[in-house]
Amino acid sequence: MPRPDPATDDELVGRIARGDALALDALFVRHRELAYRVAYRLLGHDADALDAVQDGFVNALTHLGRFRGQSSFKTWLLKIVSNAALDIGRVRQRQDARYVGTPSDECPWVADDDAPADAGLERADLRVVLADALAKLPAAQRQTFVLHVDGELSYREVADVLGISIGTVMSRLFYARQRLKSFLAEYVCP
Amino acid sequence: MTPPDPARYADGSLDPTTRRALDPAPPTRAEWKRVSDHIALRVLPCARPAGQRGRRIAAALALAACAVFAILVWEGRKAPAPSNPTPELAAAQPRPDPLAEFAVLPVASDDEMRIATLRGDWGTGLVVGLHPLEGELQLATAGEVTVGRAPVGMATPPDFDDEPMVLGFLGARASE
Repeated sequence: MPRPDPATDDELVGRIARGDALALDALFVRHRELAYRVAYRLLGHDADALDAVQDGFVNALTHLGRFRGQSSFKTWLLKIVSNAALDIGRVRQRQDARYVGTPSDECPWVADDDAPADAGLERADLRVVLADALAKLPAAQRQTFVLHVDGELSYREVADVLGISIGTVMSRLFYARQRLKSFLAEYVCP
Repeated sequence: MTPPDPARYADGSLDPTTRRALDPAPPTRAEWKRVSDHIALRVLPCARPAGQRGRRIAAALALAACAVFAILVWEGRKAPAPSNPTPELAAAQPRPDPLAEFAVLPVASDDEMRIATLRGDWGTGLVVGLHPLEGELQLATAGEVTVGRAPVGMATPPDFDDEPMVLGFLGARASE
């Protein structure tokens, strides 16, 4: 397995601008998992999340003129990936009204005493439940919440990414959490 | 086993191990490779395979050839050879002006015209008879007009969505 390139993001971006394929690969490997997690949380669909990551990297690296000196590459990338994910989600929802799954009446991870616990299946179910709950949030709240919680961006970074004030970030996070708790409470097993 | 409380995800109080376990299954190496290759093709022009570059160059040359051919055909149609004028063009004479003898142009009178049909949406725009404004129009001053509630059903004209305006209706009360 190749060793991670110790160069900073800015250095790698500079080398990519000069056509360095190794630098592009290093930057992609460094940020792809975080970008994928954000896209997946926004879409709840693995193939679409990969498309959002791909579009996000391409757009982030072909519009570097708008990026330079304003933020870190990570925040710039997550901004574009999250916007790409929301765009893909809107298109998919128009194509298929049932794109976002609807919650089942059954408790998804209730432990069956007669069968061995299947932790993998349980986690998969929980992912679906989380995706359903996140999909019910308004897009602005969902993007803010996912960038902060799954994208690991600070309030300031989220504010910079979305072009809003820190107070608005906090407000959106508060309402997103309230709604998520309400949605997820439906899945608390009796 | 005790399932994780999903509400704890919402307030961020899930422990890191449990939270990481809820992350989506990562794409396979082949999927990452496909995405990486696509990004390289779009971001690094020199990363394009030679075959693809060759096809793009051939397509560009073909397109350019078509464009040149179209221009040549167009120019050939537009400018006929001057050494071989057609008989029609050689015989063409300027047509006499049919209105040359009139100092004042004649206008049809009402007994010479008949309106057969009228589109419904022309009803408010067709001017018939005398113009309604024959003299100076007296405008109301600010002290004479108060703006109250807009009449129910009042709509902004479709072509002026970006320009806020208040419309008054002929015959409306002065206080509206």
